[in-house]
Amino acid sequence: MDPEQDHRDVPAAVGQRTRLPLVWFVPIIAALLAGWIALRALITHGPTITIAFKDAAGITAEKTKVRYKSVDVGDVKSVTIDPDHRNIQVSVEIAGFARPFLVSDTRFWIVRPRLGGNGVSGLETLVSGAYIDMDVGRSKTTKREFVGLENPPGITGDVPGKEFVLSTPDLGSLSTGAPVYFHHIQVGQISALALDDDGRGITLKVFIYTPYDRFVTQDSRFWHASGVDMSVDSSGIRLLTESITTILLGGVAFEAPTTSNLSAPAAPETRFELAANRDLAMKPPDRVIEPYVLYFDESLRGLTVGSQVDFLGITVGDVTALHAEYDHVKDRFIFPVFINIYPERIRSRDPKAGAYPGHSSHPLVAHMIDRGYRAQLRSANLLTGQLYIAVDNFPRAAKVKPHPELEPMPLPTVRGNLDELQKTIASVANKIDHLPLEKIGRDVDNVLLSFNNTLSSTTTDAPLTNDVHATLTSVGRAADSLRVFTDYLDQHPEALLRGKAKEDK
Amino acid sequence: MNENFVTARARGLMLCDVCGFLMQFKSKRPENIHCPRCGQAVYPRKPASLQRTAALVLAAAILYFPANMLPIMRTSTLTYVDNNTILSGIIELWSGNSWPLAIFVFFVSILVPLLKLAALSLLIISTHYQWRWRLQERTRLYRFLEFIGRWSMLDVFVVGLLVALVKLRGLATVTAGPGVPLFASVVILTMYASQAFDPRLMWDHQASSTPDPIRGS
Repeated sequence: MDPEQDHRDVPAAVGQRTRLPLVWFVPIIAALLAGWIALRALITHGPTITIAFKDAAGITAEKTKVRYKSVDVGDVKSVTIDPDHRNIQVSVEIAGFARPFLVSDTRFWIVRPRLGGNGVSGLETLVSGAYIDMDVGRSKTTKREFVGLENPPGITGDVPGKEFVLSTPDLGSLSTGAPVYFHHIQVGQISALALDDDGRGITLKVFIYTPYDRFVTQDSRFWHASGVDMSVDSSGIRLLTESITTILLGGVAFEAPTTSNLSAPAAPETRFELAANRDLAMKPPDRVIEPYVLYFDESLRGLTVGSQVDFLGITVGDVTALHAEYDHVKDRFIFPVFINIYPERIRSRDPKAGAYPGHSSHPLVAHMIDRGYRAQLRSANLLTGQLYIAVDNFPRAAKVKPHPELEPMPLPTVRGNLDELQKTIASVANKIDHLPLEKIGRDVDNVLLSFNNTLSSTTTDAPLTNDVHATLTSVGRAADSLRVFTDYLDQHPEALLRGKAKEDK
Repeated sequence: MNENFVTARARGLMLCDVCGFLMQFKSKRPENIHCPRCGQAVYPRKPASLQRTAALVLAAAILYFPANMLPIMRTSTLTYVDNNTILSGIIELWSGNSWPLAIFVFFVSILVPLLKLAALSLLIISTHYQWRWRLQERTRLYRFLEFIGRWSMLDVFVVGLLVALVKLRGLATVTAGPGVPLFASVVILTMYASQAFDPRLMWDHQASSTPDPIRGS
């Protein structure tokens, strides 16, 4: 039998099971793989930002990196110049994981070798080329266009610590990065400085590192520690400086007064005054200033702006201005003197009132005027003729109605004792002037002549001479007995109390 | 074409690929049969040839994009790190005035895989729809694909060589990027695809006027 024909009548198996052949898993796996790669690329592919710089030295497109804590977070894609030719726009592609870093207070700067007062930085970029460093801010608002810093910031956002504000009229030799000292230990640095809007002062920001920031209390005093402070006194020459660095760079020191009882750490951004030196800083702060005016009708020669106002020996204020006014009605000159009084320097004994009651001291001053307190010009130095203003009690002074409602409030004055002194001296001089000195001289001459005659008229055998002899003899005897007495007393001092001892004993 | 050509399959015969044993097949859909002499699985035509080829071509086409977009070589020197894709490497060669090499690498690494994918797709579609168009040229194309396929691996070899050679510790290193395995898989997938394709299928329709025991026409 032909095997070909054998099974012609047997029906073949019907069709084939339609199933997905195994081979189709290959493209499925490929698709999954490609999808995963694409997804990962989408995630890791971050946003593109632009950073404006004044100068792009060392920045190369496609080569320069952006780093955060020395980790690459982005690549410079292009470097272009602004249409107005002012800035360089550096376009940077940031990695996806760094997306949260791009907030409004994030800062960028170019790291290149720098030589500064506090050392050399960025030396590694000599070999590796410049890169852009960044400091991540704390803001929540995202940002895509940044302005790069020209200089690296002294303090990066991840350094723990607190920032405080200092205001000073004089910057001295301070600069950004200058050290801040606490007991001669560097605990921070100046992070920023700017001129005030009104141009009258300078606002500094100082950054104090943790854990030193807790030493900045509400009562801390800051002062310039720049340069050298030399003083000569009875113990010799004193040379004060914080460190060699401050001589070159300037610096700030702070400390709380030993008497301070406000030991709570100050809140960040607390404002302090920056004093010129330690002594000024340690003075009690004059937070309250009350202006007064004094009208004198005598010469102000010797009184200057800055002269002290003295209240029973305590300096309570100083002179701020001197003027001269002509009074047409009374046809005389009046000299108004403007003074500042610092009422905090006089403390209340009432413990509830605190250091300063918080309200104007005008009612108290009015009361004191009623009791006879007056201002007076006094001489601080007779040789140089310097004057100061004394506030003292003059019970017999004429009554004056106080005017606490005026601003500045006038304080009544009495004529200075300097005037009286001058008058006394003048009258003494006048009297001396009127003494009949020539006549006195002649009289003395006559007296001496007659005395001489008297002496020459006496002779040796005159009765007066005998009397003198007798008198001298008795005086000699008296002296002898006195000697015996003192000799005995020397040997028996108890005789003064017990009487003379008996001889037979 | 000469219509008198007779194929082995039309005669119900087939050849063992390994030992050359000539045998008959009886069923219309011969599956799971083997050579009685050497035991090799035998079939008159490669089973599911078109499907396999299509699947592998599709997979290769999918992987072709990431393979070209991801870096294949990472050059790190002291000063910078450079990631090179195949294309950026070619551009670098070109701008470095090595344009003959650039052209060669472009041809071998970009154009050849692309051509292979396109040609295989053409073969699959034309065979599936039983076109009788330019059968000889299509066969020549298939032979060309088989020949050229191995050259596509050149890039992978170059990277492998560089990684092994450039190991100046600290100064410069070259490491293979994620594009290399992808590129290698594209090349391998296309090679398997061209292998899975059975060129005899193209000719079967040309000879379909003669009685076909399988199709029973």
